[in-house]
Amino acid sequence: MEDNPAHSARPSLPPPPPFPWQLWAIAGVVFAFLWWSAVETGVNWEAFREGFPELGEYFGRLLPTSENPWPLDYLPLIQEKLIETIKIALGASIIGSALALPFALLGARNLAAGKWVYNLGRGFLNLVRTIPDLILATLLAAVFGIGPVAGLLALTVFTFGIVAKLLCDTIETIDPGPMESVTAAGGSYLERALYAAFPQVAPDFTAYSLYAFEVNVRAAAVLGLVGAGGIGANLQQSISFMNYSRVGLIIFVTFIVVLIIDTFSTWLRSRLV
Amino acid sequence: MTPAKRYDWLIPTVYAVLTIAALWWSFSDMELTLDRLIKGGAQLSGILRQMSQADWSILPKMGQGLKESVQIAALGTVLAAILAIPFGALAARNLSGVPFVPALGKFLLNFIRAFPELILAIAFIKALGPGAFAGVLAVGIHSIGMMGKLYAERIETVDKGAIEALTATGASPAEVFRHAIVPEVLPDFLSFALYRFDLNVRAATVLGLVGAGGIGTLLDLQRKGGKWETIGVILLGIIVTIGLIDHFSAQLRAKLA
Repeated sequence: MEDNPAHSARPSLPPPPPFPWQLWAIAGVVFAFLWWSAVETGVNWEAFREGFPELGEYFGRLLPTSENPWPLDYLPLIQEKLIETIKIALGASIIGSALALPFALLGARNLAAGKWVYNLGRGFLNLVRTIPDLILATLLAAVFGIGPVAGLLALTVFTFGIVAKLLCDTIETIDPGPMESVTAAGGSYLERALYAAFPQVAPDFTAYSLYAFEVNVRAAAVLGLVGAGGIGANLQQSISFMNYSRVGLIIFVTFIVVLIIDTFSTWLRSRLV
Repeated sequence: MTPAKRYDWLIPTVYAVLTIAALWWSFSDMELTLDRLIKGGAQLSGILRQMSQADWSILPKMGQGLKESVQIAALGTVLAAILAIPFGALAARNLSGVPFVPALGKFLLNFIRAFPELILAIAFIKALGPGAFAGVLAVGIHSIGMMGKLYAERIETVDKGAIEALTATGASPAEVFRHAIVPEVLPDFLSFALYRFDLNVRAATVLGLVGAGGIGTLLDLQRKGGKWETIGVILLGIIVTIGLIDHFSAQLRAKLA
């Protein structure tokens, strides 16, 4: 009976997969956490049902109408503040990237003087990148006073963190050949970084700086909400005075400017790498 | 010397001049004088000294605030993960089959992304009153922009064979979506949500600065009172929380991939 060839040749169905207990347990824990969070923060269907129509109404008021047009005479002030916003982002991007370059060149795994230099550098970068930029901006505004300087410094720290990290990662993947050549020619630690590593990552470095600039422009547009300069201060003022048409105009113009900078910078980056 | 070599200095020089000019322009009327930096530096060292005399009595309140921030981030992420599905499906080039729809979907996602969490939070507080609910909505709606874009890009790389096979059996677009696309993209969608959760925890620590709940509320209060002894502790709490969540989220995402 067991040796029946016809029997054993019949294709058999694979056994049914075991019930995924682990998956369901994780899903259950996540769901319980969400339920508890919703109860504690007062999020429920009632709130959504009442909230969403009000939100729709709020955003509807931001659009220009014939009896409530956008105040175009406000544009010169918006322009001035937007230029300040871009200046904050640009200055922070340049200084932050300039600080990140030597840090990454000397801290990458394949260039660092020793394992402890590498570990220390990476630990420092991880620490810098966990601090939210707006938290830093609000604290710096308390130190350096209300204004663009606090925003500039906060975004400089942010730029340093992100550019140094991306650049470190890139340097660790470069071709080791030129570095070995420099070492063989008697080159020092510094010469290895400068003549073998830097030329290989220069385009990436530029691309990362441009990327940081894009992120910084978006961030700089809200710095004013915590007193750190730029268009955000005017936006907050207009929102608290319930000047809807002004809010709509500021958001619209900021959106256009951010979009133009984003598009241009993305195009530039795509040509670099 | 070849002609190409003779001008080797040109590009780096142009590059350097442009960078310095840009830096010069960005610092014009910044009022960043040496005097101001020195004064700020002196003040900073005083503040750091105050921070080092940490006042740990803030810990219970800090725990409460951090917990609320994480809850806001979690609920906002789930809200966005669900609401982003129709936007992502709309913006994906291979799904609707109608020419202008993907472009419209991508424009909508860009438009949503243009409203930062903080701006949304302030607007929602005006419309719904202060509190964590405004924060959840702000985080949730802003995140749709990025999640929808990631969803769309993932749907665009989905296996064509499964879609064609189902279409050939006469399945409706909804059935194709459910049986050919969902099983393939679900792990990646979860991974995107986890990544977005990391970013949202950061955002949720800031929301309190404008009255939308979380640890930022406590931080703002202490900052206005100049209580740097507690601000240092709160900052440490924020760094540890974000660091831990980043770590676990990265591990989970590595498992999903």
